[in-house]
Amino acid sequence: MPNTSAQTAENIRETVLSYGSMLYRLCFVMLGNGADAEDAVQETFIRYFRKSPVFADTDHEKAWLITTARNLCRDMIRFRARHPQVSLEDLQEAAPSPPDTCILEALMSLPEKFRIVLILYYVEEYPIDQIARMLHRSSSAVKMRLQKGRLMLREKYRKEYM
Amino acid sequence: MHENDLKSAVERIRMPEEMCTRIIRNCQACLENDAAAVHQASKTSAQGGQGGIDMKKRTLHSKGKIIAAAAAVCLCLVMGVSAAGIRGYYKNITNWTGAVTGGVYEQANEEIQVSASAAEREIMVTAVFVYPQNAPFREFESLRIGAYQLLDASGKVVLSGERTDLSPVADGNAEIAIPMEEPAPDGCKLVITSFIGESKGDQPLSVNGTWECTLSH
Repeated sequence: MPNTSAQTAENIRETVLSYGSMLYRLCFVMLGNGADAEDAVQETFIRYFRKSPVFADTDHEKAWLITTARNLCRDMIRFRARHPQVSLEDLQEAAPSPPDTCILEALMSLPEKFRIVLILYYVEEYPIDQIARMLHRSSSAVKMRLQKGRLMLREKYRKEYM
Repeated sequence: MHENDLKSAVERIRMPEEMCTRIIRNCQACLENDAAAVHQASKTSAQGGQGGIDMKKRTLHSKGKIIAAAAAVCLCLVMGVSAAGIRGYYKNITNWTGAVTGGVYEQANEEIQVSASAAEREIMVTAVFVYPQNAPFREFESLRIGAYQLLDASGKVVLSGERTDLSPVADGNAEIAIPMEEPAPDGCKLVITSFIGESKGDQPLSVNGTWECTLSH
């Protein structure tokens, strides 16, 4: 039986360490659940290593990973909608500080299309046109989602946590 | 609340160390499994290419089995059909509202044997019930031909008619006369598409099918 070469093993380790946290954050906010986020991240990496896509640069690589992770999260959300689950993991486990947890809770209560735009813009600091390309939407649509998401988040936070 | 709070809150979410290790390990295992599967598949196909005899034997064996099974099924079907024959069935006649207004007996080809002989001014048709003890034939006291055609050797219709005179049924047999104005030409074929059986107090029952017989002189 052939073994994975040491170079490949090192490559896997390096890639997971580079992008793991970023993808985990994204998946965690999308799914609100550490276990599901882990599954989504792992599946994203498995797809990445199986397909071994060729990228123009690291930004391209990162965008591919984000898009794949987002698609997987959406699949999982759809699956959950069809097969309702009993409980969600407590947020405190991943975000220790209470005020941050409130923001996270407010963020996670937003619809998925606003959540992803807010994360990509404010956390990953992608420009709007790049987010538009990633989500296959127009720049104006992304701007609208960003604006509406921001308002909704602010409203939610003010109402429930202040 | 400021957007920076959001960034800092989300950035505090970190993948736990053990989770990272688990993902790395699982990815490696997954890729190893893939490689092993590919290797195994290529090995199997290589073996199949070298040792064609085994594959061939297996194929022949399964083909033999299939042939034997098919033959057995055919034999059973032929035996079953020849033993029991193809039996007819009752069919309701309904009007436009769906109400049942009567009935017919369909597909009775195998339940009546027909022979015909030509006389000078008529054709004598002998109808023999194969199952005279079974319904509906046991009920019939008299029988007539519902519809018939006489075809010449080229298939052209020489004569056609409906509802002959009633003939009594005795021991499951009935002899029905078809009147002719002139003698039937040689090599004619009689095609009957329905009989009508009657009994006292019952509505006549049409027995449908297709019976063909060559006229004997």
